[in-house]
Amino acid sequence: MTTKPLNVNNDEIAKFEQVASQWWDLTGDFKPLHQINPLRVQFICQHIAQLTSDSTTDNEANYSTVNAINGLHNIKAIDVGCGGGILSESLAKLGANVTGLDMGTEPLNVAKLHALETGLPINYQKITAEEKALEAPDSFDIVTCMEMLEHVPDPASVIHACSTLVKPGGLVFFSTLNKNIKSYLLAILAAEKLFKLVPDGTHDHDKFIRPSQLIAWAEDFDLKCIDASGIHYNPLTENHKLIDSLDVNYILCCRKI
Amino acid sequence: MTTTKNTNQHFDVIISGSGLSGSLMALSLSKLTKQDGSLLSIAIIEMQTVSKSKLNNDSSLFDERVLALSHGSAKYLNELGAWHYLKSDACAITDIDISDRGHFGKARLAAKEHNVNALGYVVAMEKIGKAQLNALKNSQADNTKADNTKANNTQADNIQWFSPDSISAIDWHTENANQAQVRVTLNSNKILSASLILACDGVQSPVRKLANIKVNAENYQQVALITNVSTSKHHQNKAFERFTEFGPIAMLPLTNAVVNSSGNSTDSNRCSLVWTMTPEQGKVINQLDDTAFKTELERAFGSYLGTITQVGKRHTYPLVLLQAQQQTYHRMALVGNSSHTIHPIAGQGFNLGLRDVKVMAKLIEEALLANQDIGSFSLLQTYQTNRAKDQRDVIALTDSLVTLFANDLPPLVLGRNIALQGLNFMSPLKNALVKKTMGY
Repeated sequence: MTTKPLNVNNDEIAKFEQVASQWWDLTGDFKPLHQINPLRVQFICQHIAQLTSDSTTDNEANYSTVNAINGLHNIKAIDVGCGGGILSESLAKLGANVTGLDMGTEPLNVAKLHALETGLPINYQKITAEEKALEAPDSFDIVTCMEMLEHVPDPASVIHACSTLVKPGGLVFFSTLNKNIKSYLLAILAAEKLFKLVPDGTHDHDKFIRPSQLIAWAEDFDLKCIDASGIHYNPLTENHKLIDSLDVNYILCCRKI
Repeated sequence: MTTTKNTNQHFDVIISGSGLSGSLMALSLSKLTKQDGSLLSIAIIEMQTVSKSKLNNDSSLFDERVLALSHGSAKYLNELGAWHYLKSDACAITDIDISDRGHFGKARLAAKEHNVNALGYVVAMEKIGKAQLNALKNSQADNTKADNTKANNTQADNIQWFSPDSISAIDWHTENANQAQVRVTLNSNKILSASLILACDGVQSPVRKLANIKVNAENYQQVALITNVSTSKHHQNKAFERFTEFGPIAMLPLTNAVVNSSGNSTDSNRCSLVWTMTPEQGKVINQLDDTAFKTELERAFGSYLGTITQVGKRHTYPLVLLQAQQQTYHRMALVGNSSHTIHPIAGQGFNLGLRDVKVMAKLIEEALLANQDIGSFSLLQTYQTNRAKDQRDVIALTDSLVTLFANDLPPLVLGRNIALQGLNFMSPLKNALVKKTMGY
């Protein structure tokens, strides 16, 4: 695996370089991302809260590394494919020590600048998840990998890397787009072509991943899926909420065994 | 608890601020006990000197600032033993008259129809603060008594005041497996630690700033003119909400200001006026002398209360909504105006702030019963989720007030200015009005 080329799609990186300046424009190309971000944070917090109450009641030896967790404060978090840092900043605001990884130079520059503005000490690095995993295995209390798997040539390799990065007992969160006709209609046809919510060509439907596939990959790498939720976004009403259906955009929470 | 100054003194809860929400927070927590039967220990940090004279001095000013307590808020204050200090100063609202100048639309709400004595109460903000502090003193006295009957040597010193003092630094990084706490440094250089910090320190909340929580501001491009007035006819405990082309006017009934030794009784039929208008109108109105202002007000409001006989000092403020981007941080929560303020009618947000206090007190009580950490992330998460929803609902109402008025649409607002949104009667009525407004 170490001799393989970087798990990066240069065309994908180029797409995001072009629109980097828009990243923190709350009404621009990334508006939907800003709107659904609180939902992701909510989902993450729910599970951290669960972890907190678990750790006060059960004392399983193999989870000891994350037992001291009380919320996001002071925990080590890594945001894989952080882009302009929307989620990284949210986690840092809640007190987490955040490392953000991305392979796009421009989005990372935007992220660094914005963190300076908001005064958040986030450690942004241009490095792949796989390389970081070699450098810092079993190091993080939580790993987040949001809307990233559908942009790389080998998603399983990223999942493996995330599993390596997280401490035993720690949590890994994945979100991506489901692969079915509904997700094509909504994520590509509606979001990109009709309503131009995100730039044309942002997504390639062939790279979307079924939840069953993602869960199977996670389990191959010692990650037990403990919860899944759909993320609903209506472009007309801008209504957004967590829902049961995983048909389009969905988020998983996995715990490292 | 034997402690000396400047050493690390531990409390269960630190409350920053002893204003309306701070004193209410302390009052709500003052009788809670831990698993070992001891009372919850509380530190109150107050910037201003709290003197006994402040508690007793009864300055019945014509110009006192008032707010409308919802029925639910009054009920909670009663449960906590603060209401009887307040009762005589509270003016009950038994009816609300909503009318639209130049339109036929008119609605009336009556307490009788809703099986309550009053839809809400109008009270001076200062008196609420005093009533809560008095109730707190009383609760402390009870605690001492309870301790004595147990032949216990300790006094009920579970509440300690640090005043005048303020929090200058918070160290969130002291936590380890044995120390479930944060450490706080005061201006006086005293060091305290606690399991939970509650920021009840108002719109400029120093604690919120120390946690680096940002505030979103929304300017409604409207100003609110606030003053107390006297009218030739008595209000008969009726509140008025009138929609006019000069902006919505709310007139709230007040108790009579206490007649002073000179026997002056011109302020007997007192009302509190909140008049929302454009900044341009505000400028014009502000330049009028009292006589010209009376005439303008009579023209806009009509003669429901006869003529305006006296006007107090007028204040005009831009209408701004301030909202903290987060309600909680590590072992810390924002309560009341530190979390949300509708300026300048901040007092009107008190019903919302009171519910912050109530929810937080309930969560702490439950955690104590279950012998859980009162500063746990899951407790704070529950608080955040609960409060976010309530805030969204109240702010949605505020937004509709401003935008609908701007469009010169018929009334939707009612109760927004007078902040009675906590009342049961609101939902069906609001729905009906929303439908009417939207043309359904």
